[in-house]
Amino acid sequence: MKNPMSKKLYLSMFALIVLLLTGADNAFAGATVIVINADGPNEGFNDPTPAAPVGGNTGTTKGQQRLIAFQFAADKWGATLDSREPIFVVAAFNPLGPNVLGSAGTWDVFSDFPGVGNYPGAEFPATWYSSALADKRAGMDLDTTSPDINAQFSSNFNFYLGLDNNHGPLNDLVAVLLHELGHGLGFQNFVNEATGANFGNFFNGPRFYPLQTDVYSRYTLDTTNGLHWNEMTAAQRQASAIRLGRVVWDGPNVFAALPSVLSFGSPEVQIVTPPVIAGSYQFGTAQFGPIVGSPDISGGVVHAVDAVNGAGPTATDGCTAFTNAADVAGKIALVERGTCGFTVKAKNAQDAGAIGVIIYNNAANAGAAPPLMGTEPVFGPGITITSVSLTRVDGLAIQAQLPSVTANIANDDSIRAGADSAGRARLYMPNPVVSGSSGSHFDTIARRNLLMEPVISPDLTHNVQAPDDLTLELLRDVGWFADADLDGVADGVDCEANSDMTSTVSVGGCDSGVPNTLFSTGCTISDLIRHIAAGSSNHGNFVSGVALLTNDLRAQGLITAAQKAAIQRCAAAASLP
Amino acid sequence: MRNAKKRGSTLTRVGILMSAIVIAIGMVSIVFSQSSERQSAPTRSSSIADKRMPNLEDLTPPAVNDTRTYIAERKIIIDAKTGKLRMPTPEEISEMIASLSSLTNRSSEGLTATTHPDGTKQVNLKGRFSSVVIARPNADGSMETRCVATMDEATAFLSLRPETDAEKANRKPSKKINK
Repeated sequence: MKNPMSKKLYLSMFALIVLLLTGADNAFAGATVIVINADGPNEGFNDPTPAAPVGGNTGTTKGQQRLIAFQFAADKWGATLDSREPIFVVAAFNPLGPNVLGSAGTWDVFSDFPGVGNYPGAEFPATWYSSALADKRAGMDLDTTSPDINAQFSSNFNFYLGLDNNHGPLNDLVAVLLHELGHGLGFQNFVNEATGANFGNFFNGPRFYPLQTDVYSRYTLDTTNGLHWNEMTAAQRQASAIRLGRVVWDGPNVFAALPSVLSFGSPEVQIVTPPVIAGSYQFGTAQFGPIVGSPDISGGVVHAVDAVNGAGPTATDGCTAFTNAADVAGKIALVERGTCGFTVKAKNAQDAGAIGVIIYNNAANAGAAPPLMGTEPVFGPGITITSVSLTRVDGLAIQAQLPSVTANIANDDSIRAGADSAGRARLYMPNPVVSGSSGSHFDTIARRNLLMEPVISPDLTHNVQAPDDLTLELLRDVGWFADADLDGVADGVDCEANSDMTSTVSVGGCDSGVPNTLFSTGCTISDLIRHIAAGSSNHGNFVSGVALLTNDLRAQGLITAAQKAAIQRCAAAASLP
Repeated sequence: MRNAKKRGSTLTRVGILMSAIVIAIGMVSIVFSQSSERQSAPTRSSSIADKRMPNLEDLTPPAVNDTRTYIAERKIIIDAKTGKLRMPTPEEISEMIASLSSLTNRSSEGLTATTHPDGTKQVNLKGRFSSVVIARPNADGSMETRCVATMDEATAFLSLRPETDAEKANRKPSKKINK
C-alpha cells in the first residue's frame, strides 16, 4: 500500500483549496464550507480515471466526481447552518484497509471561549465544543492554523457518486459524508464509553487540565436516574452507556421536531408473564421474515427441542425439525443460537407451527448483544414468521420461567419508534457496547430512519432536518443557533432576524453617513428606523418617531448632534411610510 | 373629530413603539459600529487565505499499540477476481486492523491542551476521536454499513476476534488469494 499520507504530495497540492460558497442567500442563513483538498497528484480527488457522469454529478473523472459529491454534501450543511466563520474541512481519499469506508471528526476541541460582539461564546463553562461550533459561537476563528474537521475516505471502495440518491445497491457517498460531517460539526461526545471517563487529564508544563464534560453530554439524559451525563460520575456514565432505551436526547429542538419525524409504533419485545421477568427487552431484528409488528404477535413461549445430531449438537439449537412440534404450534418458539444459521432455526420453528421465534445467544456469545440476524438465499425468502434475538442472560431468564411465560412481539402504538414514552429521542446505547454504540447516534429502531443512526440506511434522504430528519435539530440543541443575519443573536430572540447590516444608516434611500450601530438586542439603527416606519400610519408620525429615537440616541451619547441631524434630515425627506 | 381621534390613536401607537425602543436602547450596549468594527471583527485572522494546511501527519493519527493477531469468523471480503464472498486473508485482516486501530484512536495520550490569553482552552485531537464508517458484505449481495467510534465496535461488526494461544500454535500458512 502506498503511503497515503505523503507530506510531500499534500504540500504540493496545498494550493488546491476549493471554496464552497453555499447557495443560500445571506438573509436565509448559511455558512461557508471550505474543502481543503489534501490529495496528491493522480490520487483521490485528483484521480484522472475517466468516469461517465452519473446521477447529476457532471464530473468526467473519478477524482472530479468525488470532489463534486463532497462539495454537494458540504453545501447541504452550509445551506443549513448559520456561521459567520468558514468551516474548514481537510479531506482526502486514501486506500484505507478493506471494509473501511472512511472517517471524520473535529480537528480541535475548545472550551471557555468568549464571544466577539453579540456572539455568546461558550454556553457552558468547562465544557468541550467541536471546533466549527466553537468558532460559530465565538464569532471568530479560534485557530487560524488548522482546519475544523478532518475527513478521509476510501479510494478503493466503490461508492455511488451521483447526487440524486439513486444509489441502488451501492453505498451513497453523499449520505455517508452528510453523516460523518454531522459528527465533525458536533454530533458527538468525547466520553470514553468503556470507562465512562470524560475528556481531559492533560499537562502542559506545570499546568494541569482536568477531565471535563462536553456539550453533547449535557443533553444526554439517563431516564433511570434522571441524570445528564455531565452530572454523573464516570462509573455512572459507564453503566448508563449500556442502558438501551433508557438514554435519551434532552434537547428542546429535537423534542419539538420529533413528532413531525418519527411515527407511532415502537417495536417491542415484552414479556407479559410471569411478573418476575415482565418488561421490555433489548432485542435484535432479522433481515428475513416480517418485521416486528407485521403482524403483532402475542402468545405463550415454548422452548424448541430437536435431535442431538451432526446438524446441531444440542437439543436446544433448533437446527433440525423440532421433536416437540405439537407444543410449539401456535406459540412463540424459544431457540438457542449456534451451529446452524438463523434462517434454519426460523424455518424449523415455522414448520413446527410457531407464530414467532426468539433466538437467544449461546454460550459462545454469552457477552454479546442480541445480533442483527442476517439472511441467506436458501431459507431466508421462505420465512413468514417474525424472528427476534435476545441476549443469553435474557434467554436463560425466560427459559427458567417456562412454561408460564407469555410474550408480545409487537408494536407499541402509544410510543413513537425511536422515542421513549415521554417523546424524547432515544440514543443508541446497547448492552454490551456494540458497533455504533458510542452514544453519538440515534437509536436504530427509529422510524423513519435517521441520518445519525449508526447504520447508514439506504432509504435516507439528503435532508438533514425535520420533517425528514433530526440532525439539524440536535445540532441546534448543542449550540448551532439559527442566525439568519449572522449578527450573533439567535433568531428567536433577535430584535430583527434579518437586520439591515449596511455600514451607514440609510432612510428611504437617503444615506445619512451615520455609522449603522448594531446593538446587543440584534437591531441596528436602520432596523429601528424601519420598525418605526412599519408602525407609523403617516409621514408625520414617522418623522416624530425618528426624532424620538435619535434624541434618545443622542442623550445616551451614542450619536453626535450632527449625526442626529443627518438622520432626521433623511427621515424628513424620505417617502415613508 | 373622527380624524383627530384617529391621529391621537396613531400617535399613541407610535409613542408606545418609541417607548419600547428607547427602553430597549437604554438597556443595551453598542455591539459595534457597522462602518468600522463589523468589517474588522477582532478575529485572529481576517483572511481565508491565512488558513494554513494542517500538519498532515495528524490527519492519520498513530495506531494504538495492539499486538494481538485477529481472525475472522465470517466472510467479509468480496473477492476481486471471482466476485464471491470469502474469508479475509491474514494480510487483509492486518491491513484492516492497522487502519481501524489508527482511525478509532481515542487515546488522549500525548495530546496537549493550551490556554489562550482570553481564557480559551484548546486541544488538538491529532485526528483522534473520529467516527469511522465500515462495511461488510452479505451473501445476498447487500452491503451493511456501521459508523463506529472504537476498535471494539469495529471488530465486533466485522466478526474479527483476537486469536487465542491455541489457535496461534495451530496456525497454518495462509494461501495466497488473488485480489
